[in-house]
Amino acid sequence: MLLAVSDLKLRYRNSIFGFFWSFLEPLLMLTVLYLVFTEIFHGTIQYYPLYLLMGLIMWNMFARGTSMGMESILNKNGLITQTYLPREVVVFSGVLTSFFMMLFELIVFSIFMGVFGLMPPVTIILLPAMVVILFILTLGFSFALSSLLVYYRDLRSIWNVILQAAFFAATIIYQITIFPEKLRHIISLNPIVPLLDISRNVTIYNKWPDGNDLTYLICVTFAVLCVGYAIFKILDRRIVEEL
Amino acid sequence: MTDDIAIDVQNVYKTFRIYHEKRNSIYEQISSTFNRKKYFEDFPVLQDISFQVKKGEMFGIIGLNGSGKTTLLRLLSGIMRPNSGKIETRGKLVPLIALGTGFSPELTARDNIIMNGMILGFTKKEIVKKIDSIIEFAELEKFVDTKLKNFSTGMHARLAFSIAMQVDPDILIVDEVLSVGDVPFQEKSFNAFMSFKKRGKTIIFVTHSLIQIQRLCDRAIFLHQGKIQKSGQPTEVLGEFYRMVEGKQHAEKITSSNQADNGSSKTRVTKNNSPTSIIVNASNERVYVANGGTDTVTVIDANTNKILENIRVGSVPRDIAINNKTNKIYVANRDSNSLSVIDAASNKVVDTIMVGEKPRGIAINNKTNKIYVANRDSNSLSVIDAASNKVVDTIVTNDPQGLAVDENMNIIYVSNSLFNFISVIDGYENKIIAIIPVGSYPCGIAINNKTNKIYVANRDSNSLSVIDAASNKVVDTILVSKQPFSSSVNPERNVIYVANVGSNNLSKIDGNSNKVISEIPVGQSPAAISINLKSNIIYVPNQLDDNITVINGLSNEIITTVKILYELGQRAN
Repeated sequence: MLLAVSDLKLRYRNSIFGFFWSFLEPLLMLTVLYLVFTEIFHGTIQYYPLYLLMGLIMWNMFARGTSMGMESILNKNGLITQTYLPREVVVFSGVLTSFFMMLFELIVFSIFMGVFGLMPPVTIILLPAMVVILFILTLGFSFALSSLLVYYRDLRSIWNVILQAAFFAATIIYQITIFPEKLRHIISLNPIVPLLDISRNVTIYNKWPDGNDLTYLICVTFAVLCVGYAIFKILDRRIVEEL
Repeated sequence: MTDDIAIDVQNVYKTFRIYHEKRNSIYEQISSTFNRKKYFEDFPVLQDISFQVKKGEMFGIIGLNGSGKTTLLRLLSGIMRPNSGKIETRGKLVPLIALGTGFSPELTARDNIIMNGMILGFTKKEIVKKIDSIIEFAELEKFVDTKLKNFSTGMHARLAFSIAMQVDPDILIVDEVLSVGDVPFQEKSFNAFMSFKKRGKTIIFVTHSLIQIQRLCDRAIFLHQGKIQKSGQPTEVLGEFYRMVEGKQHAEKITSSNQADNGSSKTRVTKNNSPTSIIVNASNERVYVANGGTDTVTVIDANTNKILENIRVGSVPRDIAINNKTNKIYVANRDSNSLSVIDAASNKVVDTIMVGEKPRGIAINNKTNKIYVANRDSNSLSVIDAASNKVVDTIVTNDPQGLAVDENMNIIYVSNSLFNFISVIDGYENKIIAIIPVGSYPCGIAINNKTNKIYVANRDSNSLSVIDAASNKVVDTILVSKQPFSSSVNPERNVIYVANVGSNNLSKIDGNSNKVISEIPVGQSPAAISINLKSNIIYVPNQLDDNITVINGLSNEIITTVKILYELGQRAN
């Protein structure tokens, strides 16, 4: 926890705008995407800017979280080789840092909701649960990635490519309906897709989530966490020597 | 594991992989799947390591580079896991393996203390309470809110060290840190270590400074190529270390230096009388010899060179001094922590004064009638009033060994052997007024009142430091033979004699030119010198030969040797 706070402090200490940088980046992205895609989805998606913003915030959390989580062990190299501390803590704090950043972005989102004159619906009580699921999902990936990266340093580039591909293959900018019928099932296997879907429904569209989707999401999330943690535990034994 | 064991290590093995070709990427891993050749080898770093450390023990680990010391420390701290075997530790453990790891250069000292404390497993509240004492100990009050990137290396190290000391763990694991910081800070950390030990805490200690091992540790192990080569008393372990590492010659060196200086070791290897210190009285008629291997003082007639009497004193008399006004002789008994007062007229012990632990050196100021005793193990000087034979004051100074008093100025000079400096003490106030860095392991000190120069024998740097008493500055360093242990001045002729324990000779130095003018061979392991100023005769006790060499100061020729005879059954040990 403290590691994460100090990470944040370090990240923004030397920049004039401090925390505002963390809003500026998605804001810029939002503006560009909004300008480009509003024309394309003209009228088909209600509250498109909010739809897009929610997608971007959650995706950023996942992309940034896994990247930071992945690098966490390598970055805290000195600490790990010289003092005893559970290595899980390091990964956890890496993900936590990006989680904090997401929380700030969600505050910006609520401001936008106000701008659009949208009152938060009842269903929004499910949003915290979604956020927690997103955190666990990111953590699961980070466990596996962080330990694997110590052994295979080119994983960094590979993961970046995967993230890029996933960005376009998920429903961040557009709706699932844009994909051909056959592909939709495959696309929906990506846990990010139902996660985004449910989150938007509960925050913007006042719709309760579909039971199947929710069950699937929770199962996948915990599977990822278990597998990721198992990989982490196996590789952890010799990690100090490999660093 | 019983209650008094702090660390229990049983049959621990650790291997590292040595890669012939490092496969550090997925691409390499895939492309070499078809290449079935084994690409790494298992290298045994530690093999079958077993030992136990008791609570409150200071446990030393020595070994050459690559012998597995740091790996062992990492296993103990839980950073790495052994391949097989068992490691158990009891109580809160703090490793100080590399100083200042886990510090973020961009954060302030305060934030870093909190971070570090939390990494060490404390809550934020606990740490915040301790910040002030940590900063105070590290002497960084002005820099609490300075970013660490603006700290010097020394400041870094001091901060890390004081965090480790102030969080007060049960077990402290230390890799080469006593050498951190400047001299006063070293002294401070030494004190902190000692008080830590006194409170029953355990310290595991890796160092290349063998003197530190010998002085500080209760037990030690010697690692060689991943195995325990020797474990036990520091002296034995160091002996083995020398034998393995630097050949037989040094094994002899360590035993002989143990005779000359063996403050804390419990195993005495002396099998003889081992005359250690000597003094001639003012009328130049009597020579008194303290026999460090026994519990006696031998009285010799200076005219006939015959033994007159053996006087029974305390255990291991290490140093001797004479008050010519009252005609009393004072003997510091190392192992009975006492001072024997002998009446020179009757040759009887008239009083015994208890002093600190392991009194090692003694000096008298005839003018103020004060006696100063250097207590090595309690890191203090006892000040005794010679009229009442009572300890009137205690001055704290680290690892005191040699002593000398400037009677005119009422100043006391103390050699702090492990710290490589001399403390200058004001005899009126009993306060340290200056610290003078000298060579490595300073032992005996001699003063020439006429030229106002002080001479310090540095045992481990084979040199004699010449200090100007007016400025308290080292003005010259004279290279002598091996392991100079003690020196003596003939102020009339401005000549200095240095006893070299390691090379069995005296170096005679001209006080004007600071040049060695001759080397006088004596017996084995000469530890002290006393000069009869009237007849210019020099007396040197040879510890390993059990005799006194008597030298003509003018011709440098040996007049005679006086054998110290004393029956075996009466020996102290």
